[in-house]
Amino acid sequence: MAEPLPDGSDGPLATIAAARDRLRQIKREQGLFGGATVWIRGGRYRLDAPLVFTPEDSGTRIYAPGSKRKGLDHMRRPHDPLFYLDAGVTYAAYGDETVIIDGGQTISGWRHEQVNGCTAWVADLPEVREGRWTFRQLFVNGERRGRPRLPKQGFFWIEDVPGLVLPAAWGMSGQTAFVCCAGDMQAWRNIEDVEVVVIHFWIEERFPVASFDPASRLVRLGRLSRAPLSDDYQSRYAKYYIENVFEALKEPGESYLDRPAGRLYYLPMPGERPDNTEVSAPRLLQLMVLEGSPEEGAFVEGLRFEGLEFCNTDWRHPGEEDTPAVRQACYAQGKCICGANLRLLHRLRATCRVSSPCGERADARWSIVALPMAVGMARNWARVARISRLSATNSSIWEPAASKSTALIGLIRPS
Amino acid sequence: MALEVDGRRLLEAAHSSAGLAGLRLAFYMWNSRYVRYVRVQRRADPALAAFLEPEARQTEEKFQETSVALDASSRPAPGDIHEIKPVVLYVSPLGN
Repeated sequence: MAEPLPDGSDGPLATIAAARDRLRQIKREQGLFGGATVWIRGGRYRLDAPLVFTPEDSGTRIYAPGSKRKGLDHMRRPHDPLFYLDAGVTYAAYGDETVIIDGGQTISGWRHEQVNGCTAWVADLPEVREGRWTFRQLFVNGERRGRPRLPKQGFFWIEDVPGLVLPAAWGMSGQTAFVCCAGDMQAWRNIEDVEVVVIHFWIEERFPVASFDPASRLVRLGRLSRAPLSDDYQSRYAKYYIENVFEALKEPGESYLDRPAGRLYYLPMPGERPDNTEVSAPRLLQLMVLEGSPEEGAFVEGLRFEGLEFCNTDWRHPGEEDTPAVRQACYAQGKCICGANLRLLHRLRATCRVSSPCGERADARWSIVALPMAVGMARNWARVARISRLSATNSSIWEPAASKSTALIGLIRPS
Repeated sequence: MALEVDGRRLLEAAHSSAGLAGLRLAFYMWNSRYVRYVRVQRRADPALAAFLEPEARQTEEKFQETSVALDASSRPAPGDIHEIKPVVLYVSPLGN
């Protein structure tokens, strides 16, 4: 039923997860031999957990030799999709309506405070203070807002790296500390939340600051670098910038999350007022997960997703929270849409829009688009119809060997 | 012994040993349609009754009473074959 009854006795389901569960029940009790379509009416569907699809949610395979390839039965193979009737399960936007799968939470209750000489919007977030929530980026009226960085333009240069002899090369061991130039770094507020972003070779590396000694200007990093802290193969040390510095919160559009205090600061862009601005903070890293169990011979298949928009997710740097370490020219993360161990047979299709994968400021933006493809999906068809707010000159594909939790990733970086 | 599918007699065994061990009826269909009911008819056979233990005879009689055939009111007319209908669900922010 597309519309709810006035008395509330019947009508559409309220959540996609409820529709998925209803289909599971129907499949158990009477089978899904005719396939199923879940029409999703326009609106915003906020998730408090990723939508998980397992082999139980697959479309039903109906073996019907000769139904589509008459006279060639003698050539049939066990898994030839041409011999299976289409009894798939489709989750699709209803008509031209806009369906938004939202992993964020709207921030409200703003008050105004003077911060670094600017008028900032400030909101208290108790869950952040209690350590139950954190995020790296904001979405304001659907646009990503970054964190304050230094220098505002260009880069700093490392003055010295203890133990590193120049020129260095890719493949040499990394370092965990460097000496910055005088004045580049200070003992800022929440120094453990400050990130050093090194751009060298063909990778971007991000390091939390473990400690900073103003006397020696020694910066200790929270992890070992993937490559030596040199400027590629040159006889000089690497360039970098610093991100998430409260004292650098001075330009419109920047935001800062003070985790110990549980306080979010945002400097509004011209024309933005609390009454005409929607600020969303991501709560989820993933919105949809498709996961099969190949060891049990169970795969996710026969699913289609059409016309859905996914937005407001967060991301973590490789190496954080069990994500894989930095690879060459590729961040491998299970992101917004994630699939693993799905099946062949052209039976998982997606025509959706991913509008908020991870990304940074416009001057050094990395964006990750995760397509629902993974191990064993060579013959599936997946297409992102519209990719917004991304610019790209390069993309790469990474296929994990036997991972159950990571998807094929297309990494897009601007020139 | 005979097999009837949706009112249409598909198979009929003419052997006098119907019901005794050794005779099987089976049918197979592609899953592009579905069957409303299947009815298995067993001819009353004194030889079989004499062959079976009393308990087994009770089972046979009970089976005849509660066969898989639907009530007459529920039976489709012969040839009344319905396509499988896909399941359609709706989800809405205003939903229940």
